[in-house]
Amino acid sequence: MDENQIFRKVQECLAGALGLSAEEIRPESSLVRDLGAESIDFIDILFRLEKTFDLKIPSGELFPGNVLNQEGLVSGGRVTPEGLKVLREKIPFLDFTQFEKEPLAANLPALFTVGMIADYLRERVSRNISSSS
Amino acid sequence: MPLGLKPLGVGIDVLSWKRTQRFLASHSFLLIDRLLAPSEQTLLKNAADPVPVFARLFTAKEAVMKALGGSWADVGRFQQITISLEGKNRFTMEAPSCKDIKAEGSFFETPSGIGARLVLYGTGET
Repeated sequence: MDENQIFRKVQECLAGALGLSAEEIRPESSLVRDLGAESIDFIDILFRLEKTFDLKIPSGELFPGNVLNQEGLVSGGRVTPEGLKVLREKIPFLDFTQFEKEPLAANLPALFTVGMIADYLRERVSRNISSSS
Repeated sequence: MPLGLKPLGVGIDVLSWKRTQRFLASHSFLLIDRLLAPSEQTLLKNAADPVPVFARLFTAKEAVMKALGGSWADVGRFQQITISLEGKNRFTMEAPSCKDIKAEGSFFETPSGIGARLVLYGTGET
């Protein structure tokens, strides 16, 4: 499966989960800000991706919503420098350049883009190919 | 407020009937069971109309997770929280990681769906 095929499949999953047309779903689209995703949609997307790509996505690997629960990672609603370090380690496929300027924990879900999901799946698919060869 | 306890956190969540219907129509019970505790799975399977039952369970779990610290899209944690519906408008919760915490939750109708609000009580910090 090449990169374009992976992206098209991601587009189809998101279109189904969010009730949108595939054309509305671009790599740079934020799931929350641009596509209107809510909490149930993140679960819906996860289930559709697992079915489409025939793989199991471990809890918290693609959308690690609990990554900041540990004490000291958020203070007054802002992600601390230690929290940013943990985020980079746990979510290596996410770009934190803009988030660092105003690191509000509540804004974290808005960082997740369509391109990020496609990047994650490219990595997972290639990992599956190498482990089966 | 339960005697001897103090409020630890509040959580609120809303969900539309439309999104609930789309979610239930798209996934098998086998997959949806990954979000639900055993008693909730039975409740959903025996429901004449699963939409309001699932919407109540989901919003209640979301409200609990928000009150506990803002987790989202955490499938594993969803299943660890057991919601007990008390009548049509109230619920309580149990979770192995929160044995000393009591919860008082209620549902409210919105123009397009349902919402859950919850207060957690305990003796210390979450």
